[in-house]
Amino acid sequence: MIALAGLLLLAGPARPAALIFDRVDLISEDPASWLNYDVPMAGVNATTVAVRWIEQVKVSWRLPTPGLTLGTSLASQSLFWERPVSVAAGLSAGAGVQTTLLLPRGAFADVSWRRGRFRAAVGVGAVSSATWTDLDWTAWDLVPTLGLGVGRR
Amino acid sequence: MGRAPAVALVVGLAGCGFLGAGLHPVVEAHRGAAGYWPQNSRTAMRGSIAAGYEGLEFDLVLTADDVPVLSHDAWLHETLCTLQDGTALDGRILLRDLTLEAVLAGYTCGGVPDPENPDAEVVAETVMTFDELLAELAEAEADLVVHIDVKYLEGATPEPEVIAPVVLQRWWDADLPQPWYVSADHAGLLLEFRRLADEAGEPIVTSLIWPYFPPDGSDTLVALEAEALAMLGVEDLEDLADDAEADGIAIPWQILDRRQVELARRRGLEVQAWTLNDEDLLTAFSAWPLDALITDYPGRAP
Repeated sequence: MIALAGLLLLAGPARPAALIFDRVDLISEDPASWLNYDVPMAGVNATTVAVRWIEQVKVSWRLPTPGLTLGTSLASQSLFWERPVSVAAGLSAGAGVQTTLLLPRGAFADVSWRRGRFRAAVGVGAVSSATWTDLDWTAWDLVPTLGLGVGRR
Repeated sequence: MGRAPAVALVVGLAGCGFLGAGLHPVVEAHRGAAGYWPQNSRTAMRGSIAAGYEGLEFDLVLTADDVPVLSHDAWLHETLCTLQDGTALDGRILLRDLTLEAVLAGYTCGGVPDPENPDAEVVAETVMTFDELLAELAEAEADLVVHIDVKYLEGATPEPEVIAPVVLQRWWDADLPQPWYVSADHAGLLLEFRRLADEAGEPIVTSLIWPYFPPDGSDTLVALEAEALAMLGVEDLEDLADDAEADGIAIPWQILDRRQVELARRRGLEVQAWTLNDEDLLTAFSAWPLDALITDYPGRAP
């Protein structure tokens, strides 16, 4: 919580941050476990896969600082910063930190493509095993990430 | 993009869960393969041993005279057990209120079709004691893992300090060669098993059954709560096992999370999954880094 608050203070202006809806990620890049670990079980454990899909659906909000977004899902909260790589092609690159119940536990970076309301991103995430009951940042997994979202133009 | 790179990209993006763990989980006959024979019955134990299953799981509850008998509940099974003359039971009859003699003289179990396992054979027989099962295991020299699931329910069974020594002493006296472990859904009971084994200088392997499903509670609500707590990291498998000083944790397949399983294994924790009864489920979870798959139908495992 302290880390996220600190990042927000560093990133944002002194005035109260105005959150503007950006998009809903139907497949979210963080915590990146649904696609990697749950989808393969869809054929035999559809209910759990569906529940965990809901857990990872992320709503992202633009912060006043250009390129900075705050993402919130049941499973994670993230702060993400991206900047255009090619405006004409709609390509951006970015990186973010991921928290669970505001406990920092991972980071991810991606390349995204935006056209109209649609956003797609591929990247990589580094996820630790830290939880509030076990503050352990020694074990990390590197996982591929995919983000698919719809939102503001 | 060619087909092979496209497939590689898809697998790469959605990758880890598609990969097999390269382990072979032990397939345990749940309650002695309750899909084939009456659960926790003499017939089931003999059938499972004869079938050569890799693991045998059964439940123990103490009678009033502290004799461990095979039963999943602290009471005689309301559906499967009857009076000796076949009359249905009138409510729950606690095993701790009956001596072994009274249990054997008054009741039979398995003579009524099991609605949870409609394909299981229907055989009426008296309740099996732990001593009988130990004798069967010794005689058969069965090459299997023995999984003893010990039941504790506050107010309905004796306390852990009574249960643990009774079960452990019998196991030690039997001096069987089979690998074995004890599971329970109550941390205090596992701690008592651990304490006694340590005092005696005997090895023991224990596993915590998680989450705890109250006998009359909603399984769905318990599962959802467990899922939420695990998702938020409020409950951690390793912490739960540590609190019970357990070597492993047994989790219902519906709420298993492969990443959590992998993390638990990396930390040296054994993980068992229960109760997987479909062939597809058994095949899918066989690829996970699990130590055991507990099933009513061991014959369906790959």
